[in-house]
Amino acid sequence: MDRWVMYAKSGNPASDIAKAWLKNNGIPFESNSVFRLTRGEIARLADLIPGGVREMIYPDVFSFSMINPQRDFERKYIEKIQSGQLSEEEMRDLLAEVPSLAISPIITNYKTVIVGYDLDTMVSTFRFVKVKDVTIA
Amino acid sequence: MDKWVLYGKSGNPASDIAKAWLKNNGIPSENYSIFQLTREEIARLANLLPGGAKDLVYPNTFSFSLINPQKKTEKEYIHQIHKGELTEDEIIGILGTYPALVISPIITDYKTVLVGYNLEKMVSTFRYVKVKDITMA
Amino acid sequence: MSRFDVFREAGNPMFNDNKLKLGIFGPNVSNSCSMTLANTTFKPDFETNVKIAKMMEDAGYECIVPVARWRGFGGSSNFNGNCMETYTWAAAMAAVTKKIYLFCTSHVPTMHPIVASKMLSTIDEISKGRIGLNTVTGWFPKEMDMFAGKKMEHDKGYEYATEWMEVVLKMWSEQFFDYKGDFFEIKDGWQEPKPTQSPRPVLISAGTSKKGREFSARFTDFNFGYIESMEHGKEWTNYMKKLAWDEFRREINTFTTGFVVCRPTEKEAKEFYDYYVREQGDWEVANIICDMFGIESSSNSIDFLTKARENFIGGWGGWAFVGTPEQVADEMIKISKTGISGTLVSFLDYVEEMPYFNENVLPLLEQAGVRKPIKQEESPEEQENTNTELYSPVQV
Repeated sequence: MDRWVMYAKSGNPASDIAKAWLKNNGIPFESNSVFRLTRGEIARLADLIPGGVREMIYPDVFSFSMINPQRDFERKYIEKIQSGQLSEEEMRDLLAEVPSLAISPIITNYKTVIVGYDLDTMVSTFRFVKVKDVTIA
Repeated sequence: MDKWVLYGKSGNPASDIAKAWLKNNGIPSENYSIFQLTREEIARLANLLPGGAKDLVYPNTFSFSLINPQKKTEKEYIHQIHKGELTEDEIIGILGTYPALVISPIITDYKTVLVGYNLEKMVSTFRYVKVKDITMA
Repeated sequence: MSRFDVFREAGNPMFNDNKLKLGIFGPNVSNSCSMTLANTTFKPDFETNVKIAKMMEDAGYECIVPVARWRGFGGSSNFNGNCMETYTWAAAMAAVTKKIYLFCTSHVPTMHPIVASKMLSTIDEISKGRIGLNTVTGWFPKEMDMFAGKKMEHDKGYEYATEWMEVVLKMWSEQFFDYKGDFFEIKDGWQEPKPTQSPRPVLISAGTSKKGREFSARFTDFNFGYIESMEHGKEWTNYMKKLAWDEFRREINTFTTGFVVCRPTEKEAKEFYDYYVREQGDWEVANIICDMFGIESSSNSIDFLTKARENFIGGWGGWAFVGTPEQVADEMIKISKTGISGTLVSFLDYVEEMPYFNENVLPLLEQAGVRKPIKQEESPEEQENTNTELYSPVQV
């Protein structure tokens, strides 16, 4: 059986909609706050993403602030990351320290990782998903 | 007494936080959904903005989709609007048809217009605001 | 007999046998102690406050300390913006409660000591000896600016507070007295009623600076403060006791504060903490307050800055009691072992969260011997009679 895990932030429209999509389409999943992302988990996810950890992070200050209107000192890290000054490892360290930089939702079964919400991606990803084990020995 | 109007979208963090700011700082406001914006109202607001109607619109599709994860039709217009190929009237017409393109919150007393949430702007705008009439004849 | 013996003998809850006394902090202000936009049913209104106080009396808590605020801190929560003034609050609470000890929190520069002392004597009469005084000098500039720039330079603030307190103590204990200081001149001072409780209303203050601690040691019965570690709690308590004895030949206790997120599992507690602090916290107000306390972003690590802000958002910088009933009780027992007399607690949603804490944490504190089970003194019938007597408009 596939185990799906979601990292989400309450009040973020994309997180809330992805959660509703999974629930209403009968896909069991484990939901955690993005603030539960550990260094190890970040590495595990980033390794599965073609562009690495940077794809898990807001691409610009404007979009970061749309979802986190009150977060202030984090903004400079977005700029730093996007300017390309940091190595993959440094970005992973930084994200572990400041998980609010992560786009949510992040949805994964540890084979594939979906960052953000997009209906087509949801539909194409959740095909032939086994949600209940009825063949126990 | 000053009359303040807020156009918001529920579930948009910036709208929700601006609404909370006004309420918790004791500033009465009339709250409407962004979807209640009429063509006339948009023209009235656009007239008050230095860059006109395009100042009301999300700067790119990524930020638009963060707040409107489920809307697709509108996306193509964002590019068109910011490319500068449309007349002011054409932009206002599009926004009248697709109010989701408008950044929320929009806060106005029809002398000044705030687009989006920014704490410093809120603090500097709301000085000497008369909120209760106690001097009736 | 020492002052503390007199309080004890008079049956003052702040001096009862419980090694770890419990109270709550700030039920009279919007958001109480949590700087967040998270959903809560909590309202800083009288009805809610009475409901909370009744729950506390049923569970045997010792006290309620209100917050005095004249304006909010800004931000979208405008943290603490809506505040029931504490003297009038205490007078009303006194009339509808029976056992819990209440405090007024008074910014000394905002009120003349004769008015303050008389209001306290009056509330003492209403409450039958259950009112105490928490003095604050006023550290929030925007608030004190409203009072014609009365925010005094720090040390001068304490000199003013010292005279203010001397006048209050004389009003409570002397008749026909003269007083001349740099700030107050009282001619032929006189007051009735005097406080009914013995020896006088309990005095508390929360100064952490040198002057603040001296003021506390000189006048008060409890110095309130935040602790950074159990070791720090022990050092602070010893320091205060020594200071009060060496300098002023008097006894003093310490009391701390914290916030509670108590759930059946640690996972649930941490998830709720994530929600109301990290996801829905009012980070702007946390920044405003950290700036006021001089917590600079340039000279501190990200980790430190985040932790400091989270503690403010969670519960005004207090100790984080986050976890299962066992974990929360364990932390409280540790605090008690440092010599600190008790802790105030805050909840995001008192009415929703306090019953679980009362039912699951208090018994563990009793088992550990730091609190005694509450005595069941009156039958419900008798209680009803007393209530009728208290509330009946016919009698007034």
